[in-house]
Parts: sequence; structure tokens; C-alpha cells
Amino acid sequence: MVNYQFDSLDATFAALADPTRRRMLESLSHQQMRVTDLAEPFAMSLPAVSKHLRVLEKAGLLKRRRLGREHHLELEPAPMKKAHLWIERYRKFWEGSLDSLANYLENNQPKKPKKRKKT
Amino acid sequence: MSTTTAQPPLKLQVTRLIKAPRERVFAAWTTPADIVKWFGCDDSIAKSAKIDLRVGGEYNIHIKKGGDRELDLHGVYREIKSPSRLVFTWNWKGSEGMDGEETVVTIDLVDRNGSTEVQLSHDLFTSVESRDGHSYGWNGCFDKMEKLVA
Repeated sequence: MVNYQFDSLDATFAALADPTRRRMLESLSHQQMRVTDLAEPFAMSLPAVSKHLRVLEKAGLLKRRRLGREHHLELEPAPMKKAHLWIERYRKFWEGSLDSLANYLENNQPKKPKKRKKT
Repeated sequence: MSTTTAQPPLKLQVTRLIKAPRERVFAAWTTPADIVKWFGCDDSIAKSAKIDLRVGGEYNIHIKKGGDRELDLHGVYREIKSPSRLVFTWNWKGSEGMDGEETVVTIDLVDRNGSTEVQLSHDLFTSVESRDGHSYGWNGCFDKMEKLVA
């Protein structure tokens, strides 16, 4: 079994469970940004933005670079990849089970799911 | 996964077309004798199932894994609309790591000229915010699948 760092996975999901934070990541997926630029499209105070950024940072989704007095923000995609793999496992479980269900109902054969190849 | 994708799937969705009428498919999800025939994967086999098919009623699927380990999958029905929709919570017991997390599964059955499109949605995020300190541990089906797809 792949040895995930489960605590970080929890932090990733918690961070992604908020639409504002997902939009922030979306913005950062195109380019590095200053905090003020990132904050601009959001109708919220800078402290509120900072709070969201701290959650993203804690989850490891965000890197900060200090350039003089400015903070530049950069997306760190590695934790999302882990979250994606976690979800994929459940997907494989259901795809296998639904294959088995189809086989049972269509051929009336109680048979466990076929081995699925990676697509 | 593309490294530029900032928004991962927040809900897992799987669909499958099955050549059987909706009534039959619905029964397969809600009848113990059917469930033990198809539910599960490779080394984890549904051995028995108890179902109290009413909103607020519970189900329990007893699963035997390869070796001598056993675990239970259980939950509560939240919505029952035969033959089109089934919503239930999903919890593990005896899973070594997954116990304590509750997720929600929604099954929609759509008629396609006598066949049935099964639209399955597993909301894996409902539990995340309410849960802390629990670690995930995957085993059984998922281990096996990982080997298969490796």
C-alpha cells in the first residue's frame, strides 16, 4: 500500500472544501501573484484573504516567495496530486463493483468484478 | 493529473449503463440476496447483508476479506425513491483506519430505452470538515486494485 501522509491529506481536503480557496488556486495555476493582486477580485478584507492563504499554506498548496517587501505566491500542486490519487481509489472500487453489478444483472452470473486495467 | 488543474473533483461520479430495467437494478441495490452476489471486489466479498429499507433505516453489509479479516459497511438511508433514487450514508467498522469517517452515496437510476444508466455519486468531502484527528488507511479492495493497476 502506498504510504500516504494522511494528516496532510486531511489538510488538503479541508483547504479545498472552500470555494474561495479553490478560486484562489485557480488564479495561481496560471501565474505567480502578489497577495494584493490575488485579493483584488474577492470582495473581502485583506485579513480575510490572509486567513484563506494561511489555510492553503498550511496544506502545502501554496508557496510564498519574499521579494524585498513583496510576497509572491505560487501554487504547489503536489498535495493535490495525492488527494487525486485518494479519490481514484474509490473510483476504481465503484467501477469494479458496477462492472460486477452489470455482469450479474445482464448475464445472471454471480461473479466478482473483472480485473480492470489502468486506462 | 495535470499540475495546472486547480480544482480537483469534489465529488466522485461514476456512471454505467446496465441492460436491465430500473426496477431490477433498484432491487439489486436494496435486496440482501442480490447484494451478496455482486457487491465487493476481488478479495473482499459481501457475505451477508441486512437492510431496513426506509428513510432513517439502516443497512449493514458484512464483508469478508481474503485471509480471516472481516469488516462491516453500514449506514442509514436518507432518500428512497423506487426505482429512481437511493441516498445513503457510508461508514466502515473494523476497517483499521477508515472507521469514523462518514461519506454519502447517491444512486440515480435513469431509464434509457429499457436499460438503466446508473449514476453513482460518492461525496467524499462531507466528512472532511467534521472530522479531525482521524487518519485514512486503505486496505482490502484498494490494496488489491493498486496491485492490479500497477
